Amino acid sequence: MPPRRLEELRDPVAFTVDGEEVLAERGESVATALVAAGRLLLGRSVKYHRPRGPACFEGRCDGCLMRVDGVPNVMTCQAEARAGMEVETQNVLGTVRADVLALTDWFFPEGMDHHHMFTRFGPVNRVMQKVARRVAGVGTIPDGARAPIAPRDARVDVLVIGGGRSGLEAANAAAREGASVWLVEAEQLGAAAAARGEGVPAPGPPVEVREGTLAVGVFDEVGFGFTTGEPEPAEPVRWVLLEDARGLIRLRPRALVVATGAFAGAEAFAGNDRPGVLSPRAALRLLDAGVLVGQRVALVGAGPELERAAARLKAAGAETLGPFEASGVDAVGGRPSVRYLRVGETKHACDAVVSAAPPTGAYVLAGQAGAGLRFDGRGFLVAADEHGRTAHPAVFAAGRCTGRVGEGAARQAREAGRGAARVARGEVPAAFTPERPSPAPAERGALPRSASDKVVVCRCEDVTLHELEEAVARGHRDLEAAKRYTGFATGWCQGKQCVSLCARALAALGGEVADAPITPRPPLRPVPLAELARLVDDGEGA
Amino acid sequence: MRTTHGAHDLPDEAEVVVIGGGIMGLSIAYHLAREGAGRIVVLERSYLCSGASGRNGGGVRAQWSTERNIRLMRESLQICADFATTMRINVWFRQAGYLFLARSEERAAQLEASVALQRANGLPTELIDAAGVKKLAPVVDTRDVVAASYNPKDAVVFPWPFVWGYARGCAEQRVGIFPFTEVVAIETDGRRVTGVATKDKRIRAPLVINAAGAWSPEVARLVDIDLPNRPHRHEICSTEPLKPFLRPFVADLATGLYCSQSMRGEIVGGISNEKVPSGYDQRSSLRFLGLYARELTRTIPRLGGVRVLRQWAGFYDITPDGNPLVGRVDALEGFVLACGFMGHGFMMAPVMGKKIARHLLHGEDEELFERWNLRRYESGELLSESMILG
Repeated sequence: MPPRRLEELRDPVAFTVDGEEVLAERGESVATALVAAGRLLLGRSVKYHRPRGPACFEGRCDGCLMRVDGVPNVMTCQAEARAGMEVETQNVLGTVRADVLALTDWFFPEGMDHHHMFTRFGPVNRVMQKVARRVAGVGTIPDGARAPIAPRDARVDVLVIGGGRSGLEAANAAAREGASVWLVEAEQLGAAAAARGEGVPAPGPPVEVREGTLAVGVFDEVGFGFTTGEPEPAEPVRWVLLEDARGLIRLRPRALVVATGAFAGAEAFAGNDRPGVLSPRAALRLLDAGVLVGQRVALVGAGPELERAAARLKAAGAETLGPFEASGVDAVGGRPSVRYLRVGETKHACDAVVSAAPPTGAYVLAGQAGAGLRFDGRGFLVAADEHGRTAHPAVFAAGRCTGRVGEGAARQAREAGRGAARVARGEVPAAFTPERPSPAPAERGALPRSASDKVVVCRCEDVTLHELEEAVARGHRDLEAAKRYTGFATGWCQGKQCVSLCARALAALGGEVADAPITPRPPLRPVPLAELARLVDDGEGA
Repeated sequence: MRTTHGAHDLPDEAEVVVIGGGIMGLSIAYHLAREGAGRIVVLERSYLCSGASGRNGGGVRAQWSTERNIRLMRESLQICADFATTMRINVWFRQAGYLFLARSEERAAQLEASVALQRANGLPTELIDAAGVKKLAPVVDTRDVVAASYNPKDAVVFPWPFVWGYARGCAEQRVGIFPFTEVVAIETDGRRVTGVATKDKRIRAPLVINAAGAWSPEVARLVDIDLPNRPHRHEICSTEPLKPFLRPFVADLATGLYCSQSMRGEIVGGISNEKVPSGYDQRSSLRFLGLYARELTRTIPRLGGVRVLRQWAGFYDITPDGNPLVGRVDALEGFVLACGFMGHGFMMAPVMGKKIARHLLHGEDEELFERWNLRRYESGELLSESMILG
């Protein structure tokens, strides 16, 4: 049975998708409305034109990218549905259901050796390149120009990134020490904790809480144009670039606490990228919005988030199958979205698949800020001690992004908040050099049998497990070299979804065991050039 | 076929050791091997594509302001055009020309002089007006464009496969390529090079080539030679991939802005930025993002709604006179330079690798190697080049 709403629409708004009308509950996201309307197929992937649908509902993956009112690549899981909106599917030749270029997927069943194909004859090579150029890209250039938006400036003693339990503990502890504190949260306070069925403490009154505010990058630099007219300091100054609904904020904190949490990353199995394959949080967010993703839901993988999602799905009246081991899944099939999951010869009919890999830390911002990172065998984490100290004296980290949970994480977060407040007061913290931990051996695990469908290790760039294997065989054995050779982590999500999976897969394929992820570069989430165009206003050309 | 090896396979002896596994070092090694130079070893201290060869914008152009550069780059363009079929790897060579915009009379006059020189050297470069620009690149805002130069033969490539292509070409000729292998010492007998040492191995060799790019001054310091080149951090960024809408590579020498739409559909580009930390700081800056976004949206206003996906940084290898440091070093026999290529070492490597190999083995191109020799910094006969971007 297709997805359905658990309650009648109360305050519907109407918008169109490729010209067809869809109803949404006022305030919900475009992607939620589309799923509720039974539309899980929202576009086609970049290389193989495989069907794409929403998968994370956290603004992290490429699944829900659509053209909205003339703007390409809008993450529709983050965009509120409004009356009269014109939404279009992308990267389609023909219709999104019958895309002519989906032939590429069929033609290269295991993946494509795009480095070496058609290199024998010059004329053929030139034709191939012309065709490749024509079909490249996802989405088309925006219809109109967008005027530059000036950033805002602010200063604060302590910036805490992440509004989960650790972030709140840290922010409250720093505020109790007398520091001015900002707490920024990309969504709502406690959103991820709620998905685990946990609560979070209330923010103390002196903490300035900014929900819907994403930290997009951490920078240390000299010579950055000041708008306040102050003389430029000679020493590098730390800036954190924040983005909210009004544009960018250039924030200068004296100390930083990163409490960005962890998430269930991508898992490798045949057909893992198909519409209808969701993360546990995605299934829960749909339920919170009153949408049940399917009547029969197959579970793949393991972990507390998956268990929680299974329980809530059952409570909402769904039937769950499994959980199945990812490596045992032979195919996920059905058109336009999931209809069955096949293990060996057995086809399990289902309407959706919820899959979860071991949690991986949200390490990107901490990495940019100068904290050390480490690999725990399953994914990357921020290297921090029990006081939340990292390799950088003004950067603290706490909670799940450091691999700590529960009371230990809460204590660490309070220590981190106090430490950050002391740094902001000008006290030099006790020296901490995290010993460079030798990388944990990757949990090699069994690799999936890719009998009949692609096992996708990077969905934004359509990189298959087979292509990764090919790269290792040719000597591109470490994470950076294999990234460049296969293209994983170079697409929309810049590796947030796939790097931990690729590190595990590389180790299992006999490549180098990772001790660091790919360089964490800004921005955390794509930022429009118009918002960046007035960051420097010193009147200079260069 | 596997192209690289682990440190346990390092030989005791080689005819040539190349320091630096970027496109320059690999191109030299490839051509030396083809010319029969004997056992060659390439030592790279990180992974392949870790340096500037893996971090540049992939522009390949013959529009330069000196006859030497124009002629060399015309040859390099031809090598790039044939690379996919000769080296059997796709480099996504796309010949849609470079469009240099001039927004002042002074810049226009400079371009005009360069165009005349380029045409005299066989390039089809044309000086065009704003309407001509509009025709070639409709998305460019031409309101303040005074003139532009356009050579339809200039091109853009995807840089990484050049490195892999040369690496495989090397491996097929039994050149040993060793990533994650840093040279910690260069050994001499006081007058000539006798070999190099890595952390756990000594390799005897009479010829050592410094192709370490921005790190070449550090390599030269191992033998107490002070090179005049310095690293300069250059940043670059990439937008979300979009269907093709911009054909030529667009550049503006006044601001140092440049951009092109890559084979994958992203707008990839950079800009001059004088205020960068000295040394080897490869982190990203907000200032770069601001400068680039400001000039790019001025030049192509419709990009305002297009998003930046990633910014990154690499090093230009800057020489005081904007020209490379190439050839034998007088002070130490057997020590050869192939560095100081500013921000265009990538596009020059295909032709320079060949020329350096033939020069070393057969003494070809004496004039070029005389002019680009390190000794010009002692004699004071410095050179010039005004069409440097970034």
